[in-house]
Amino acid sequence: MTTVYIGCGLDHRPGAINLDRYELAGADLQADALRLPLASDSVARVEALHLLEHLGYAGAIYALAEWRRVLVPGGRLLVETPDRGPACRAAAEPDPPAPALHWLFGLPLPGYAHHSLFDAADLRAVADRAGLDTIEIETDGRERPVLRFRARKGTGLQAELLARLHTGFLAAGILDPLAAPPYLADLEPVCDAIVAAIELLPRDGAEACLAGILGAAARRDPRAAEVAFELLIARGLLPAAPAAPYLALARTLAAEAFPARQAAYLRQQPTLPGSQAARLRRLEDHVSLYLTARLHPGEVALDPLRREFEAATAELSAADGEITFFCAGSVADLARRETARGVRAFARGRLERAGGHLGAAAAYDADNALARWNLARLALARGRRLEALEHYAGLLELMPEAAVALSAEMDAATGRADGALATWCRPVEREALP
Amino acid sequence: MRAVRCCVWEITLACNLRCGHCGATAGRARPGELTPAEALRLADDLAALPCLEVTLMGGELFLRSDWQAIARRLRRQGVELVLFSNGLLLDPRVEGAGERLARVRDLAPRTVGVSLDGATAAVHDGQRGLPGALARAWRAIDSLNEAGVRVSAVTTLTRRNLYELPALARRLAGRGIRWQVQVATCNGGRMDPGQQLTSLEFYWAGAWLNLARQKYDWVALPVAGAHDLGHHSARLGNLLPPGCAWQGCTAGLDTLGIQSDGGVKGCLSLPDRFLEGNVRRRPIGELWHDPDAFRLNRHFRPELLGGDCAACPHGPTCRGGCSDLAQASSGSPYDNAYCFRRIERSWGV
Repeated sequence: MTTVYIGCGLDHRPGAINLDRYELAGADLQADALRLPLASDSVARVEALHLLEHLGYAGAIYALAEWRRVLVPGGRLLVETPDRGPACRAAAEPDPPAPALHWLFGLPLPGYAHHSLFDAADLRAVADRAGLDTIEIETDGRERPVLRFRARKGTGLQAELLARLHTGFLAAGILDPLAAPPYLADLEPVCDAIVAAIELLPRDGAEACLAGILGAAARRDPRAAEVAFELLIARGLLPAAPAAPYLALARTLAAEAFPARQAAYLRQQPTLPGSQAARLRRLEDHVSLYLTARLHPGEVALDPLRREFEAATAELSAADGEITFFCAGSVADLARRETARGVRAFARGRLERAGGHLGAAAAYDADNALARWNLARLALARGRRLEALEHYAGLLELMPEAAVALSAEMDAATGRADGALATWCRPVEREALP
Repeated sequence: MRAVRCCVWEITLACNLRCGHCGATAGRARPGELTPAEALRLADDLAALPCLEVTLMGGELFLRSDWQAIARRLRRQGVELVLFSNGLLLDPRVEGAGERLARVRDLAPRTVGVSLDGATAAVHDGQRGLPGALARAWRAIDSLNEAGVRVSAVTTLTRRNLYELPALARRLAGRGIRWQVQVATCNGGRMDPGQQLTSLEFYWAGAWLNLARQKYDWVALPVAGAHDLGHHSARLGNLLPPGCAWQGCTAGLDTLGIQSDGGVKGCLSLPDRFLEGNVRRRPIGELWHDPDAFRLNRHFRPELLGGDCAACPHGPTCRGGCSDLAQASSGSPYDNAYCFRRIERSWGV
């Protein structure tokens, strides 16, 4: 019977199906570990060495569920991954050698960073959720401490449901556990609610079970209820007739797709100002490890992770600061010059020209409050009330503490104190803002 | 079959605050509030509708002694739960707050909403009529956070707190607190008409929210306007949560409001003339599934639209925006002066 070796890299096993997602590996099959191009119940053995730590906790559950799918009943799984405790302690030594840090953090190359580190209890928990029965977890290696995890395809109903829910969610495209932030990839409460509802089915009846599942799923993503209903009907656990209106309702809710669209939005690159977005991306790996550290505060040795994270953050924000300072210096000068020109034109009643200069100033430096203020006044002078309101909103966003100082002119602009409008249709020249 | 996506249930009108903008004039309990047995029965009936989520609020919900029994009954039947409070009784300096907090945590609500009506004590406490209310609300938020309960802040805009929005954003950003901004209305209630936003102040709020949405990533500051914060603007982007588009008032379509005396409305914000009945006389299942009830939106016809809404191309789907705000602005739920599009057109945009 076949063995599949997932994430083989350049280490090909004779006799096994070697599989890797990168073309460079020259594997027998090029595929994603979460979507194996293999039939269900077709493989005797799955091996994945040093892959799980790259997938994140959510990704690990979905990957294990997918590997379980292809295993024949009774099929075996072997997984090897760094042992978190000893790996952290080694990295916590003063001046840790580079290999100790790499064992913990992965390599600083795209795709090689570690996103999740396990101890035996974590591994067992993750495997449970993927419907695998743990056989044994053995620790090995001094310089490179590993956990060697052996499991078998679980057979109970709960194991089967959990595994098939995860593969079902993935197949339905509800989420991408590798790309989504961890809290979005978390459909585990929904899985729990479904398993609990099925357990209580004999006691509570089909309607309560259906309503419970729909209720639990709909808030996170109604498509999860759709997947669950289809699975439970196909599996003969729920009769199709009473389920039909609930399935229809799940589909209606899914078509509105509020949670899904929200998730899709969140998956986009953060639309933060350039340098901040880049920093977030670079910090991602550190953040996931920092989270590991926070999730397991008992392990004092994880302290260095925190320091590492903080140092990386400080370093990056210092670099950011320098870049911003470097660019901002010249750009802010330009903005100040344009503002001064705009104010002069405004004072001479050349409103159009003033608008050009002030607009340029705001474009050079969105944080130039004087330009924003004069743009608001100019809009008032030109009778463009809504534009004025937008500039006042922007001005107050730049300096929230000026709310009281600005309220008189904003009241004129919003019609609260209409008579006073003419007072504010002139430029502000002073640099000293309220 | 029509499901209730969101049911807001005022379990008591008793309140430990007398906020100046309270639309429900909360303070004393309503005469004839539901008994504990009636409330549990209603919880069962709601779950059977089906109802996907119930928001329990007041008055102040923690002043009702069986709040936990009601919440637990809903939760046990798979109904998602939201609790909405002014936070005073979750302030750890208040006796019994620790135990209350543990009960809240055990219920695993989707979120606990806490009202924040200002960034500064002067404004928040002034609107809420109690010195120290802001500090207590923040202590409640912090202790909910520490307990691992997701917190949402809700800000109700009046003349008094409008310009506090940027300062409030600074305080809320980066804390994982979902923030809803909504507009106070003057449909009866305790609200002083002078405190209601002018249409241009309303537009200012929209303009600021639009800026905040561009400036802050959704993860850093998940701020959104409630259903009453303007629609179909040509200048401002989407102010609803990302991915949501305005599809008209949902009162009675998938939203339901229940008063502490069993009175039922499509939305609790609506004035009393929109009462559909009382669960004491007719079970909620029968009321909800009655095709002749909740006529406000279920029996909407474009001919009902009034004022500028009648001529608006969005009228048939928008149905006049937030019915409560429309009602407050014109006396009709189908004619809304608090509309970004209408304001923009009146200023020649």
